[in-house]
Order: sequence, then C-alpha cells, then structure tokens
Amino acid sequence: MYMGASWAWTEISKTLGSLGYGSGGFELDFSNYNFAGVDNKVEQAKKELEDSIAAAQGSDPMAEVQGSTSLGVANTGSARNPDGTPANPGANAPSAPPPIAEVPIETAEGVGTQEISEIGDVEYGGPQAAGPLAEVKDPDKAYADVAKDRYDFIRTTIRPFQEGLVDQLEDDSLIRQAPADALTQTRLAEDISTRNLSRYGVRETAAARRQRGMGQQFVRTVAVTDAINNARVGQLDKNQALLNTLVNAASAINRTSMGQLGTAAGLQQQREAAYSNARSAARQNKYGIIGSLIGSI
Amino acid sequence: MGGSSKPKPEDYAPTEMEKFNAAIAVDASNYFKKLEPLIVKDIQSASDLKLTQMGKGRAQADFAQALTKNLDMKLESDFATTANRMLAGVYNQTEANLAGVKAKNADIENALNIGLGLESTAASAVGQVATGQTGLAIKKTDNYFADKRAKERLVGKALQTAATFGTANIASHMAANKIDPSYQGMNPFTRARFEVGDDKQMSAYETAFGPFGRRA
Repeated sequence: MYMGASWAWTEISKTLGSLGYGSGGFELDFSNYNFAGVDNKVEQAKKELEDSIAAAQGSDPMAEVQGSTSLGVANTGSARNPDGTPANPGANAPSAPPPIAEVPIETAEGVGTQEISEIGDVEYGGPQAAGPLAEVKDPDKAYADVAKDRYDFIRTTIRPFQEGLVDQLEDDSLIRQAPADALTQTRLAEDISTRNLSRYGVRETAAARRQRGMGQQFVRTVAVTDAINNARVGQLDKNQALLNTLVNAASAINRTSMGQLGTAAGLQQQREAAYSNARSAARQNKYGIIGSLIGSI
Repeated sequence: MGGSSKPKPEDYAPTEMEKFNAAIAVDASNYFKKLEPLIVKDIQSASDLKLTQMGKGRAQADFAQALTKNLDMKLESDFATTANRMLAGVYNQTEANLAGVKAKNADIENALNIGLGLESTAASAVGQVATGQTGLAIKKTDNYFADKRAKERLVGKALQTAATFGTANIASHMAANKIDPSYQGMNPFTRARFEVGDDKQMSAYETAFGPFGRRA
C-alpha cells in the first residue's frame, strides 16, 4: 500500500511536465536527491503507531471488566510485537469456519463419538408401539386422588413462588445497582479516552489534565445522579408491573376460591336440604302410619 | 338382568367406552405427572435466570465495539466526547438493567399464569369431585331412609290390617253380646259369629281370628 516518498516526487515531476513546464526549458530533476531518509521516517512513525495499538490491545481495561480478552477492541490485525513481527498473525486473513467439534454423545449403544450435523433437532423416531392402557377400577377415586395431588402441587410449588414474588414488591436492586454501574462506566469511558489519546501520541499539559479531571468528576456526578433517577423510575415501573401481575393473579385466585366456596356452600345447602327433606319425609311417614292406624280403629 | 327386580352390581357395569375414557384420562394424568418437573423448572428459571447480567454484558460489548470503530483524533481530543461516552455508557447499563428486569417480569408473569391455570383446573376438579361425591352421598342417604320408610310403611300397613281386624273382632263381640246376653267373649284376636239354633233363637259363638274361622 505504501509506495514511498520518492515515488511521490516522481509523480509530481510527471505532472509538472505534462503541464508544460518540461518543454519550456523548465525541468525538475530529482535524480540526485536521496529520499531514503524520508521513507525511513514514515516507516518508523507507522511502526510506532502500530506498537501503541498493540500495547493498548494488550491491556484493555474493558476486556478485563468483561472477563474476556476479545471484547471491546476491534482486532485490526495491525498490532505488532516489540520485535516488529505481527502480534496476531493471520488475523486479517478470512477466517475459516471453526471445525465441527467431535463431542462424545450418549447414544443407544452407549457413549460414542458422533458428529453434530444439525442444531436444534428434536429426537423423534416416529410412531412407537404403546403398551395397553391400565384398567381403572374406580374412576371416582382416581379423579379424587389426582385432584388432591394437583392441589398439593399448587400448595407446595406454586404458592411459595407467589409468596416469593410478593417479597419482590419492595425490591430496590435497580436503584442499588445504579451507582455501581455508573462508576464502572465512567471509569471505563475515562480509560477509553486516555487510551485513544495515547494511540495518537497526544500528551496533555498539566492544566489540560486538571481541567479534564474536573470535567470528568462533574460528569461522573451527573452520571450517577442521572443513573439513580432513571433507576428509581425503572424500579417503580418494574415493581408496579409486578404488582399488577400479582394483583391479576390474586384476582384469579379470588375468582377460583369464590367458585370453590360457591361449590362448597352449594353442597352444604344440598345436604341440609336433603336432611330436611328426609326428616320431613320421615315425619310424614310416621304421621301417615299413625293416621292409618287411627283410621283403622 | 332378569329374574327379580333386585339389581346386581354388574347390571350397572361401565360400558367399554366408559372404561376406555377412564383409562386414557388416568394415563394422560400420569404423563402430566412426568411433565410436572418442567413446570417446576420453568418457575425456577423465571426466579433465577440472570437476564439482567446477560443483558448488561451484551449491552457493554455492543457499546464498547461501537466506541472502538472509526477513531478520530479530533473527537478524542474533545472532552465532550469523553463526557458523552460516560453518560452514554451509564445510560446503556441502566437501560440494560431495566430491559433485563422487564424480560424477567415477563417470564415471571408467564410462570405465574401457568400456576394460576393449574390452580384453576385443580380447583375445578376438586369441586367436581366434591359435587359428585356429595350428590352420591345424599342420594345414598336418601335411598337408605326411603328404604326405612318403606319398611315402616310395611309394618304400619300390617299394624293397620291387624288393627282393622282387631276392631272388627271387638265390634263383633260387642254386637254378639247385645244380641246374645249370655255371650261373654271380648277377644280382639277372635270374632263373634251368629247362628240360628233349632229353637229359632239367634246365638253367638266365637271363631278363631277371622270372620270365616272355625268355632273356637
């Protein structure tokens, strides 16, 4: 890509010649000049920049925060080791797809090595012979047992979840998290700016550094305040949404329980009515018999 | 069926389709029992899933990638760039936190709805069982007392018949005593009968129990 300074001067000479300066006795002759020094200076500057990028890529604070060495800085492939060799050879070359991993997969025959050909496939071997259905001697009892079992599941599994959610209504994790996030992000942004400036070889004066520090302190304060305020609104929104969900759930539970209470009350009424009817029938029977006996005398 | 009117349990045996219906219902219920851990897993996942951390990590990565593209020295020298970066980074994370909890809330709502659906179904089933069993119990009790009343009516009828006979017997004795003063019988289990003797006089005699009985 880089053609060298002598090439540039030759091109300039050609251009001047084509404009007529070459034919009117005005001729530029650079053959006696040695441009090797200029080329070397350009080469050196380029190398310094690449070394600087390589150094910055090697200690990226963002990557440390994220626990990853590859996030945050785009790999341009121009990073160099101190000896001038590419820090990451072949980084610019088109990357080949990663080889398919040979993962041991447990098959019907046991643990073997099998190539993964498709992702997300469902293991379905087609229709299978199903055994005979078990005979149910007492469907009423079976129904009662299953219904009780399902309700036990509700009481042991669903209820604790609902109660856990009720405890979440007073959650303030977003608000508590906001200052920590703000601090991390402001530090990251400061580090990024410092790093980028160092990539260009910029050296700030003490006054500029002081001003920058004051400005950063000011922005940090604003950022924390803003983050906490946003988090408060977000927390309120989140807690309100959860409250709405739980209130809807409570309404559904209320509806269900009302239905059940209605059933229970209806059954008691039925039993009381049946008892009353039976008592009345017994009395009618008794009086009927007595009446018949009296009537027969 | 057949014979007397007394039914046998097999007269009310379930049909083949009723048996099949019960069998597949229990089979499906057992299958649901196998899937029940999935519901528990769903609830646990809604409770534990670190969506916020995931969202924050991704937001951070996207943000950092955007920052390292197209570096510009003029922009880098300007403090406003740093300030914007700081504010944008904080906003980015705050938004990621919020997006994370919103997504989590959606998962929680979903799990909660599943639980509510199960509860409603279970409550309905318990209600149906209770209604069915109470209805059956009432019917059985009604039938039991109806049987007892029928027995009492039978006894009452017998007593009524006996009383009818007894009063008729007493009446016959009283009539016999009026017609034949020498007649002394007054037993409710016997009846007085009249006869005309050779002397053309009406006399009474006592028979055993009924009006057509033999002379006692």
